[in-house]
Amino acid sequence: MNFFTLLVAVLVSAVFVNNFILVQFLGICPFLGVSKKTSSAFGMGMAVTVVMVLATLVTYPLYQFVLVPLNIAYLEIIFFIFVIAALVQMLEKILQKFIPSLYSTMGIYLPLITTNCAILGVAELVIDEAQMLKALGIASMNLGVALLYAVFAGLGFTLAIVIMSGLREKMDKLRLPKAIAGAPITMIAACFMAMAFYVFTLI
Amino acid sequence: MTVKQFFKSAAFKALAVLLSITVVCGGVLAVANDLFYVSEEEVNLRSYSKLLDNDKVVDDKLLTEPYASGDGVVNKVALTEKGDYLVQATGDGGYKGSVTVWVLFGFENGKFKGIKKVQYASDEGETLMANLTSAYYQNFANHNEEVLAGGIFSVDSSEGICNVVTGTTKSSTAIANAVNSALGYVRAVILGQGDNPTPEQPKLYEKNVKDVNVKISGNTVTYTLTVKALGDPDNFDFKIAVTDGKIDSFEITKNGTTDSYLGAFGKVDFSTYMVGKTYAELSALIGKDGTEQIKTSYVESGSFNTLTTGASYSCIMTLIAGAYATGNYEAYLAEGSAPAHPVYYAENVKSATQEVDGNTVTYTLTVKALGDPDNFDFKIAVTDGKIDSFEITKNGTTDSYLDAFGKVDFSTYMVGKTYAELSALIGMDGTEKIKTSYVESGSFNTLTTGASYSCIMTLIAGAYATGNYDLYV
Amino acid sequence: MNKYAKISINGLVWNNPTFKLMLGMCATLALTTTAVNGIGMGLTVTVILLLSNVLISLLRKAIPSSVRIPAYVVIIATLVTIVRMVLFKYLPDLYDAMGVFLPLIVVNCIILGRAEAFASKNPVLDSAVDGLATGLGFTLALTTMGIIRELLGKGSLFGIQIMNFSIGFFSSSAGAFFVYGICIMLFTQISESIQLSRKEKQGRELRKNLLNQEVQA
Repeated sequence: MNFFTLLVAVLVSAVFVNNFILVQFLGICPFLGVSKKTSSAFGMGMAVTVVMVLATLVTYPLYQFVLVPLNIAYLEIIFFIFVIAALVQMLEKILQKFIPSLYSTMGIYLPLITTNCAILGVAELVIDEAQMLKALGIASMNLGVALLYAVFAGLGFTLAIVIMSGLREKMDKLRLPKAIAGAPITMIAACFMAMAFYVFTLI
Repeated sequence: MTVKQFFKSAAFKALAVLLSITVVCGGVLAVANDLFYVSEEEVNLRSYSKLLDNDKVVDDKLLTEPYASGDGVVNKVALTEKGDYLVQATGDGGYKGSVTVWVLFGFENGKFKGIKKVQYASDEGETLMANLTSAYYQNFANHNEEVLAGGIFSVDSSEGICNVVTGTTKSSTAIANAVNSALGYVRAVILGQGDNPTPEQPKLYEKNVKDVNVKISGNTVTYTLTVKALGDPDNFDFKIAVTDGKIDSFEITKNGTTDSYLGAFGKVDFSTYMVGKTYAELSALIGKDGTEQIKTSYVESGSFNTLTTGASYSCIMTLIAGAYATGNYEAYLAEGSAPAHPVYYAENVKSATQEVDGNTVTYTLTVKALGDPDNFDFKIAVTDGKIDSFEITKNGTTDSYLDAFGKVDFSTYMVGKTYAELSALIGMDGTEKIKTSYVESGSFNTLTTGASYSCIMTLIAGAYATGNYDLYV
Repeated sequence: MNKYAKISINGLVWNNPTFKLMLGMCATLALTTTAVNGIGMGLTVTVILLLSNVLISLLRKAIPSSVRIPAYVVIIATLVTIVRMVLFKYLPDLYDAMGVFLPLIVVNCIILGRAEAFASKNPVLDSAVDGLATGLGFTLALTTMGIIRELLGKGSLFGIQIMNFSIGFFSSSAGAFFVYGICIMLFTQISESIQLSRKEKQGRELRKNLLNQEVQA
């Protein structure tokens, strides 16, 4: 299939049909933790996207060209987590130097990206060829498709987290009974968002 | 800082700890990887578990290239542990192209039994697949009588076994074609009927005969059969041996003639008359069943002129027996007779020879060593399924247990025992592991320690002899 | 109350990782479609949590503070990899059901969280009990949600079809959020009211003692 069709297929799949947060449940912790303000939510989403792409860029070839041929595929989890941790460290240092304002806004949440299920999740998902082919409806898998998937997964993540932060900003202004405020109402809001995104699976 | 300082510094120590943990973990994982290794073959075969219950695929490479059959193609053929065949076929004629299904064909002791299960695999975008419920797929397995007679499936009842869901004619057509392709493969390749198989022919005189038991030995087919009552007499039972198309020996084992006609019937010595007769000769006397009605007049015009009244039916029934035996001789030779069951306890018996004399089978057999003792040798005679005589010709018990073992007089104990009784004591091999506890719960309570294995081996010999009696007699 | 019982109740109820601390939510939402999946995931995490707590507690004095997080992660990753191998070989159905969430146990906040907060500062036996209790608390929470979602969403319980009536919503992802939210709400209400009544009881006891002392004095 030509590039444009591929682009659309991956976009629809990663952002809507298999949205990382609302459908695949990857990256829930920051989803609930960082989404109080839209600006920080957007920043987090972008940071996550960048790390996702970089991580896939390193882990996918690492898996295909080093681990598998050497028959040490079982070490994948350790290698992946090392790569992600190192990348996040580097990102932290770079942000500190070049965009200190963002760095200070994100605060503690930046190193927490390391333990974000979404990053390790996307790295693990793209190496499972059979699942990928089924999810994207394509014939074969390569680094380009993997990167594309990572980009759109990150964008989908950002989309979900930004929408949620908008909802929460509004909800904070409401007076809710103590029982429902906080976590429960956030979950209910997420529930409605998931229902909205469900529409896309019917395509 | 200097090199020396670096090596003493906290940073180095920290790195060293981290590195050593990593190396140790790496080593542990390498060991674990070998321990828990699952080969690709096994992974591949596991994927079939969703299609089979309590069974697994042992070989899925039976088909090297796609096999075209009918309006479809067979993609994959796999053999399961139980001897069934799992076939994947794609059928054309669907709404958007084709439908692929898995068909599980049941085989018992090598005999084709029909379709066990049909399951959807994939399609090319058929839109109404959801309308085809499990009941629809189940229906493929409900017509095995017709399948075994050579039938095929179709959405049109005039063209085959009809299985269709209204509104999904095209998808149903594709599925029917897929199942037929799979069936075609089974018939042509697995059953070896070639590409244009003929449906199974009914046997000659089949309607007149019942309870046929066939034993094949080289060129000789020996029949024990019952001819259904025709007219006044009762059923007749016969034992007939046919070699090279001619009757070898002929015996009336149960005479169904009514008392008043016994005399008339006895005037012909059939056991002499029948020897050497062929199908052509016998069927000429009574007419081929199905094509000509059996004519009593034939009887009266042959060498039975003396029997003008009565005993005609008895004669006809006798002639039918001979005609059945000779007429179906070729068919039975080609088909072979499938044994009623596999040889019981075959794994426990090292060698066995049988001598058959009428209803008695005498075995000389060796039971393989189980536990401490050596092999045991036995000589056992079984008549009508029960042990007649039982002798231990070589006792394998170890010296220290000879006394304990000797407490039971097996030669007396075994007489009259049947397979059911003996297998209950030690468990049926293959389905239950032979249980030593059974021995202790029977009449062997005196032998609570030692000699258990000797007892079990002796019981195995008896069970083998009685259980396989019907295969040899 | 004896020390171990205290640790256990904390891990199981008061600090329930799912309903109170809200850690490991990804696994919670994804693996509660059926009760069996819930139990499977819960027990897998419990095993890993127990082993990691024990190992990290054993090594707590040997690992320098500056590299403690990477060291913990390596240990946890090794444990997860071993469990992954074992499940693939012996329980392939559970392996398939867990899918990508099996390797994700490495970044499950619960395990790293307990390692950091408890195992690195406490002796082995305490850490073991804490790991076991937290893991079981997680398992209980997951199983509860699994039972609710399976019963309402499919009409079955542990795979056995009980009723024909089912609301597909509960099996969907939206349903996961919904059930989770409701469970958190109920749990918080119940646990807070229990703790409140306890405090009141303690307060009453204290006042009673004071009054008695006054009277006696």
